Amino acid sequence: MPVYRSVVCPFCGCLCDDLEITVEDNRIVKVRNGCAISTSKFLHHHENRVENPLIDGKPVALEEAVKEAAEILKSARRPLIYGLSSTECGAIAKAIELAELIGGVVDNTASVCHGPTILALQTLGESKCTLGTVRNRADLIIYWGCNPLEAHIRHLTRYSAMARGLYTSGGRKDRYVVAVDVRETRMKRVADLFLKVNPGGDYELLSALRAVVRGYGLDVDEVSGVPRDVILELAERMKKSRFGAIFFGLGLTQSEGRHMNIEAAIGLVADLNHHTKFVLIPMRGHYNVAGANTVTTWQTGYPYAVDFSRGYPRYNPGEYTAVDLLARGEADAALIIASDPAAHLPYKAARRLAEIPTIVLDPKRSMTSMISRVVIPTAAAGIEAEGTAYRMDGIPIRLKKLMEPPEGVLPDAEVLSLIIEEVMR
Amino acid sequence: MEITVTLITGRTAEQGVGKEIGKTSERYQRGVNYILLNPRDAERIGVEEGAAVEVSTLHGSTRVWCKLSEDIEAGMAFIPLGPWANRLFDPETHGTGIPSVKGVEAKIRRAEGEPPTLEELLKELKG
Ligand code: SF4
Repeated sequence: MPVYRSVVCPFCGCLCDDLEITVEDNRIVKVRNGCAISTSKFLHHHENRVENPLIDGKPVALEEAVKEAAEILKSARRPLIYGLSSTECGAIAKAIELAELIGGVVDNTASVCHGPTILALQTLGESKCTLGTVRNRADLIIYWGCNPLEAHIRHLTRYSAMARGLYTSGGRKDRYVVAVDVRETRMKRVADLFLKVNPGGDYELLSALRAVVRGYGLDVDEVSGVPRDVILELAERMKKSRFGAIFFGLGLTQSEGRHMNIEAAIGLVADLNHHTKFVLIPMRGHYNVAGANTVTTWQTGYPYAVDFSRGYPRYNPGEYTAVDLLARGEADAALIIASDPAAHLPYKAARRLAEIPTIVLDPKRSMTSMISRVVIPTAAAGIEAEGTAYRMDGIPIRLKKLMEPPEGVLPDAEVLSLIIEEVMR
Repeated sequence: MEITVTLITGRTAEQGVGKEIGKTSERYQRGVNYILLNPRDAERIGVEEGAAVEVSTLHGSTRVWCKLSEDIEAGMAFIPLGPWANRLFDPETHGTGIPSVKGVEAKIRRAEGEPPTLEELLKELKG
């Protein structure tokens, strides 16, 4: 019974690489060290699979599905390639190659999660470090608009609040932990200080903290629902910390202000670096969404929302991003890789996917696969196929192949190569 | 009776677990077709745990089951992102690529009839 050690979990941006997976008869029977989500992913990866390549819901041979996909993409005027955050980097590179070939748009799910973060970082730069450095050094950790207990379950114990490191051997008691959110989540119980900020009030609160760090007073009693004294004290604590880290999530990027919120956070961190060492790290959701941005950047110069219709890459979030392109009714064909936009994008954008010929590559059935013209099953990266993924802090980690995929099922990158060949034919 | 709340969306661990079993699985659907309300708000609109409620915004409406919790304060509501919630949001991104899905104003009242099933949502999506 092979037991694989140091297995990387292909679910969230933590990319925990200490799992132990037991495989019996090409079936995963045991998962050690994984969180609840990870365990579910490994133990259920064979369930609800797309069993056959499909065209209009009818089983066809892979060659036929590839041919149909190529035909759709070739004849489209404004094809959109989207998804990519839950597959490995090789597939992402192939998707970009295909987008260039067909003169399409390639976007990844960062556009609806940390896209605003990227916009802000492009404007102002970033102060960052690896999760290992946070673990070893941070004595002040702030979670802003994110809830690791729900979305990055092992973050707290492996990398941040509870982790024991070189200069933080006491673990949790060596750190002061702050959580900021619009509602009282379970993080309130983890944190030493919980700040409840009014919805849409993050920018103001960040700016107030920034003002205090710069030495200005506050002549109001509260800012965005947080009392003045609390703000003054937190600013002081930030300045006095040895090493501070702010982890932030979609509470900042998806609410009013979007990239402006991140700009305020970057500004605060920059100001704090006049006093001590402070970093800012986005809590990236899907396990390789950081890889989707990285690969897209090294191949096209831009991290997402890239249009090849003129033969060279152009970048414009808001125009070449999936939600906009679909909601405007502009995209006339779509290729979705390892993502389920039909279930997650605003209805009007999701609706467009059902109107146009959509092709989906996914190991499992999804809302998108059920509205797609062409469905091609693929191997699950990190379980049935190897590859590279980027952790939330930008560290590339090699995913393992633990078992063979179902017969005739290929990894995303190989299916994309077949489509490319067919398009070039 | 109808109340106005500030709607917050997000992901939950339960949703992640369900999603990895499969989007068509019972567990995933149960993990996303609800709204979390404060018991005091629920009382105001006369619904109890497990009742169906109608949620509407300027951009659309949806029907989901209601769950009660003190973890959410009165005047706010939480709904997990997914095919039930996505009908509530404006696709307008104001040039950023990202729609507003947090802090949206919504009205909630008791619903006539049960929330749609995944199949029904799918049928509607296909048009
Ligand atoms: S925290 Fe994320 S990467 Fe780590 S085991 Fe859980 S789902 Fe996997």
